[in-house]
This record gives sequence, C-alpha cells and structure tokens, in this order.
Amino acid sequence: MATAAPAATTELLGTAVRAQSNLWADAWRRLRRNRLALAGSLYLLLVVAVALIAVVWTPYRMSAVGLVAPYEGPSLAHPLGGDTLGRDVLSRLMVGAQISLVVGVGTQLLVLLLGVPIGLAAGYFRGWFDGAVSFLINVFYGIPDLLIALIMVFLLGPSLTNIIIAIVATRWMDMTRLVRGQALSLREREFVEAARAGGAKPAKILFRHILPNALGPIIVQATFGIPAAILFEAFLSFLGVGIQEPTPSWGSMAAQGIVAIRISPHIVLAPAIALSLTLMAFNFMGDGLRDALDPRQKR
Amino acid sequence: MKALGVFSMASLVLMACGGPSGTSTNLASNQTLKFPILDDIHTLDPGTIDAETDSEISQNLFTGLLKFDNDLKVVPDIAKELPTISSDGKSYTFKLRQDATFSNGDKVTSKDVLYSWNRAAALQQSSYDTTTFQTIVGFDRVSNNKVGGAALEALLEKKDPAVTMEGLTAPDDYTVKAQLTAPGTWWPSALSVVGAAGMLVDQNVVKTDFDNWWSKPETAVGTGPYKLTARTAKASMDFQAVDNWWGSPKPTIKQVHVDVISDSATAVTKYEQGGYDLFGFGGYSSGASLADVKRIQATANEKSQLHIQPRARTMWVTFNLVADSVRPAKGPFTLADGQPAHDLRLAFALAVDKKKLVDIVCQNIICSTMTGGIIAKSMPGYLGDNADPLAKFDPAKAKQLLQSADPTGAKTKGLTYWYDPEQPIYRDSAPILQDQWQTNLGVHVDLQKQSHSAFIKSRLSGSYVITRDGWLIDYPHPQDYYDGLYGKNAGCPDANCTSGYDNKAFDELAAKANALPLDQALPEYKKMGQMLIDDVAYIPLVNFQGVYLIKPYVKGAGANPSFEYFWNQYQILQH
Repeated sequence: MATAAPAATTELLGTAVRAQSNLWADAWRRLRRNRLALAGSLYLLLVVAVALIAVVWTPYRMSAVGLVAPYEGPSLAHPLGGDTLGRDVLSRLMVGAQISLVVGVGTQLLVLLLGVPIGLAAGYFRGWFDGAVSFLINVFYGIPDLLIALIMVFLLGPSLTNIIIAIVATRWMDMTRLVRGQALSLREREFVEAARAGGAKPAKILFRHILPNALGPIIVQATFGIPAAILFEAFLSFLGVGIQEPTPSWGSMAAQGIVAIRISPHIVLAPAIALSLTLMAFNFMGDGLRDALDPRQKR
Repeated sequence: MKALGVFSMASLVLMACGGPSGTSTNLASNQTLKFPILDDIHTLDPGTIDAETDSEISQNLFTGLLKFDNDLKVVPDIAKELPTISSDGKSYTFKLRQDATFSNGDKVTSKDVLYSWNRAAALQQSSYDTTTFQTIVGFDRVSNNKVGGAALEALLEKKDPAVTMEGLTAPDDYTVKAQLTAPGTWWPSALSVVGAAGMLVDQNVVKTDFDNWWSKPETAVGTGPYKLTARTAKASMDFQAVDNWWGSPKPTIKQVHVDVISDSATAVTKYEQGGYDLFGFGGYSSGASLADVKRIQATANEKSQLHIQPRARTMWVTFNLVADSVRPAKGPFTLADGQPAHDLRLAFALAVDKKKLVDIVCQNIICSTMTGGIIAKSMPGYLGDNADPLAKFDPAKAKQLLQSADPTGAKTKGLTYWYDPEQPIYRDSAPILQDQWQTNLGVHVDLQKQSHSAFIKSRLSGSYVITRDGWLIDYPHPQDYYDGLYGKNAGCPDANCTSGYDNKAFDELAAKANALPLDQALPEYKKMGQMLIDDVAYIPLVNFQGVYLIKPYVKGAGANPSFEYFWNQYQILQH
C-alpha cells in the first residue's frame, strides 16, 4: 500500500534538489574562472581529438618499420623523427594517446562501477559488510601496487584489457573508501532521515539521495584517478610488462627511447612530454573541479 | 693425430696486444679486473652448464684434458699431449700431466677424469653432456640414468654400471682410454669446449654437496687458474688467482670482480665512468645496444676502445615441424602436412626482407645478413655467401605461395612468434618480422616475449609454432651445429629439439659425416645443410658481431668467434 509523503518531507526533498542545482551552477561558474583548469581541459580536448583522429588516420602506419633511418631526428616529413626501428614517432604518439585515454578513462569507469556501489552499501548499511569491505581495503593498501599489478599481468597476460583490470585492482580502494565515508556522513543527514521516514527503500535512498550529494568528491577523485592510471600503465609498459608490440604506449615508447637518449633524445622526449602534459592537464582539471565543487577546501 | 688439427683459423686477435708472457715493467700495482656480466650465473658446475655467461666464467675455474687456444686450435691442457688415436679411429688414449692439481691441492689423476665424465653423462642436465660423451661406448645406458643428487653420487662412488661408461677406462693413474662407438673426428673439439662438460671436477668436494658445491667458495674447486672467493646471488662475484697454479701462462691478474648488471646501457655508462675495465664479456658480447655503439663510434676518445668482431653466432626463425603427443606445439608448418605446409614455410621465409631487418636492427654494425646456411660465416661447413635461397626476399612469390597454401587464411590465423628480449637483436627483430609478415603476406602474427631461461626450456620442448632460434658455436665443426640442433643425435624429434626436425636420410648423412675426417666430411655436411634448406626448416636472419669495450690499459683481453680469452692471459698496465 502506497503512502503519500508528508508535506514537510516533500518540502525538505525539494530544498535538497534546489540546493543541488545551485551547487552545479555555482561550480560551473567557479570552474570557468580557473584559468589553469580551463587550459588543462582544452589540452585534454586536444588529446581526445588526436586520439579520435588516430582511429582513422595517422601520418604513417604506426607499426611500419624502416620509414626513416633508425634514430633519425625530426624533419618535415617526420616532425617528431623516427624511433629505434625507423618508425614514425608522431604516428605512434597519436596511437599512444588512444591507449592512455582508454586506460585512464576505462580504469576509472571500472573503479566507479566497483567502488561506488560497494562504498555506498558499506557506509549505509554498516555492520558486517562494512567490516569486511574495510578489512579488504586495508589488505589491498598493505600490498604494494606494483606487486599486485605484476602478479595480475603475469596471470592474465599483458593485453590492454588485462592491464586495465590490473590497474583497477590497485585503485578501487581509494574510490570505495571515499564513497563509504560520504555515505557514512550523509546517511545521518536530515533529507536522508526524511526519505527513510517517507518509506523510501534503501536502494532509492542510496542512488537518489546519497549518491547525488556525494557526486562532487567522486568526480574529483575520478579526475585525479585518470592520470594516476595513465602513469601506472606507462610505468608497467616502461618495465616491459604493459602494452605489447607493435601497439605503442607512451610508457613503452619512452622505454624504447631511453636506450638512445644520448644520441636521439627525441625518441624518449616526445612520449615523456606528452605524458607529462597530459598528467598535468588532468591534475589542473582535478584541482579546478575540487575548488569548484567544494570551495571550502580552497580556503 | 692428423684429425686433431681440426681447424686452424686465421688469428682473430684483433684486440689482444699479446699475452702476459713478457716481463712487463709497467704493470699496475693493483691487478684487479672489474667488469659487468649480463646475468647471474645459474651454475658453475661443468656437468650442468648450458648458458653463455656461466661457461664464460666457469672456463677460468675449470680445465679439461684438452682446450682451444685463441685461434680455436685444439691443444693439450691437463693432457701431456694430444691423444693417440687407434688406426680404426675409435680408441683414444690420453696421457695426463702429473703436476696438475685442483685449487685445494688435490692431485688430478685419471680417476678424476672418469668421475667427471661419467657424472656429466649421467646428469644429463646440459646439452653438452650429450654432445660431448654420446660417442663413448656405454653412454646410451648411462644417459638413461634418472637419479640425481646424493643417490647419483652413491652410484658413482661404487662405480655402479648404471652410471659408468664401459668405454672409459684408466689403465693407470695418469692414463685415460676412451673407446668410441664410431670414429669421431670431431670428438677432441667437443672435449675442448670451454667451461663445459669435458672439464674436471673434484669428487672430494662434489660429494659434500652434489648439486650446490660450486656455489660456495670453500667447495668451488677446479683445476683452473682462478677460484671463487665470494658470491652474492644476483649481485656480484669475486675471484682470486690460484697460488702456484700448475698451468700457463701464470695469472697476472690477481683479483677479478664481476657485477651482475642486466641493463646494458647502465653497464656501458659505468664502464665509461671508469667503474669497469671491460664491457662485452660474460654474456654481453651481443648485449650492447646499437645506440651505444653508434655513440661511442662518434667519440674521439672511446672509439679506439671499441672492438667489433665477427662471432660464430647466427640467429634464425624456427618452425615447429613435428606434431606428436610429446611436443605441445602443433601449428600449420609441420612436415607431415606435406607440400602446403612446405609452401607456407617458404612463404613466411620469402616474405622477410632480411637486408632491411639488418639495416634497421644492426645498421651492419652489430650484425650482418645470414646468407650461407645455418652455419656461421667463416666456419667449416658454411655453404657460401648467397648460397641459401631462404635468405632471399621475394614478396610476390611469398604472397602467391600463401594464397595456394592457405587460401582462406584459417591456417595462419592466431599465430604467435615467441622470443626472448634480453639481447637487443632478438628484441628489435621481433616487431620487424611482425611488420614484414603483415605487410608482405597480410598475416598478423602476435608477439610474445619470455625471459631467456624459460624461453629456452619451452623452446627445446617443442612448445612454439614459430620462434626465435640461434646458435653460438662450441667448436668449429659442422657436427656441432647439426648434432646440436637437428636429427636423432640432437634428440629430435622429442627431446631438446626446437624444430623436431629428424628423418632417416638426415641421420644417415650425420653418421657418415661424423665418422670422416673434416675435409672429407664437408660435402656430406653440406648435403645436410641443403636438406634443411629444401625442407624450409628455418628462416635465416643474421650473423652476429661481438661488441667489446676494453680500456687501453688492459692487455691481452679479447675473444675469438667462439669464446672469450682466459683471464690468465690478461694484464693491467699502469694508467
């Protein structure tokens, strides 16, 4: 039997929704004023565009060897020069952008899919489930990231999907812990009490009331998580256990170029600069989002 | 005796400035040699050694009855002279020096020879165990031994027939007789391989810890000019000259320190900073990156320290040629699949532009194209420049062959090329092969790398459909290649055999050629090489050049196409 919500409850919920819409509008206004965040966002748009273009077009086939003399520096035909096997560095850099974005965004999507529901449930229901989740988080924090990733790549094999899975296994705890904390805090707030008193079921409370109010920190966390994942993939590829030939990753390109750094620095500099700029851009954007969504932290 | 003049090469001592026999007055007071090695040693036990780095260290700690001189000529070592050979070529008699001792002072007698050789034959943990002793009467039985450790030592101690080759006898303390199953003109060469199964070990120390005696300074006892004094696994080793060593030349270098550094760029940098006296030794002869070589070639100062020399080392691609219940790999290239599989192999061979590969990977500095069959250039049995049709590049014919052999593409779908990336040439050639097959055949081949030791183990058990392969000679004789790689003598199709290649005609040719003096055997060996070509058993790729960096004050250091010179030939001058 359906029960109508009392008038006071409806008013409280309406206030919460209005507060939320104001929050997003304010956040957007504050974000637009942050020049570094805007510059970072523009750079990331460029990277996304390059990655998309590389799906259909690159100056040369990225795996074609001997296009230029190995180690040859930049020229008009090959603006970023050739690598140790005479492959076009620019073409490989473009394809490498795809890999970085797929790894960064793909990892964070999986982390969100895993961490948000688990964190919400742990924080809202507490009890044995919360205890188990907290224990698991502590266990994973206790094991070095690299060890977990290496074991997983060793067991699953070094494919793009498996690299993403391996990185998720080292990153899910941050998001889960954050969301759990948010849920723990929000479950005691009046609008949640009101929803509960109004007969809303736990799933509705979690996803209609608690999650929207935790979105700000979640977005910020995810934004910072993307560069962390990109860097981790680059590190794995640099170690030779990441993306496999002939697919280029910025990390594997840097690893390949490091042997020639004293005669052909462009081979290592091109992916290293691209990687650094991308990481900086994500971090600027993350900072901007954090300041925009939670201006108190800025003070 | 005539047969023992196996192969006298023109001197390739391009970097050595002479031996230490001169009474150099300008020797440095500190005779400590320092250099990096590519990999930690897996063993120093001559009975189990199979890796390049291991034998290049071990050769300075252990010696045998015979050895190679720097020109790859067999000369006596613990033997007083070259062996006497019976008229039928099946019986060898060695007379031993009476002053040879182990580093702990134990005298070397014929019993040590019998113990060392029977032990190695029974161990069967190294390919050298088979190639060195397979021709001795009784080897077949001993090689079936399945016990190891203390149990094997107990059998050896009581001279159990199960681990005793009856063809090996000791008429007195300083005479060893070996009865062979067939004349084997190559055998003295096999016995002379440095740091391998023919070297002698001391039963008094081996029996204290049968498997690990070599790893501790107090029991790592050999007959060589140096002894182990310290070892930190995966980090470093120290060696010291044996006092009053019985052989010659007497060691001038008193201490040797080696660091395990698996990254060649790091090792080269430390050499350039003065941390090492040498680079390119201990497994590193093919380990220098092309970038470093090009950079050093462009410097005024270090250019003269760079020595590039041909090595008798070749690299090719091997197909899995046999699918049976023992070999895990199957694939579309097997001999049993007849002409279509033959055409498929030929298509893959002709689709590779070997010149382009060499241009990119080596720029004709650290390797060159391999165009004369499986045997390295300058070695006996080499078929001649451009004599191997598999070395040609013919993409049109390759495509045509592929279309007839695999019109739907089903056979070549999902192929994976396996390789070990530790050596730059192995690492860099993989994506080039992949690109060549993709570009010229339209076939995508995945790449899969594996660490060297695991790779070799899997490869020799027939686990790969298509894989990196190669050979560094042990001794300059075609038998070293053919009996080590193909046919019944190598263990093919099912034991220690990458390709699985074995057939009756090949085995008959091997038996005939192995029994002949080298000059008469060469035509037979060349027929064996031609059989491999006709059956498209491999895709020839490159001949290696060794890259060495030697400080100007190190005298006598260097290498020939087969091995590095012994440390007791080096001196450090004042600098």
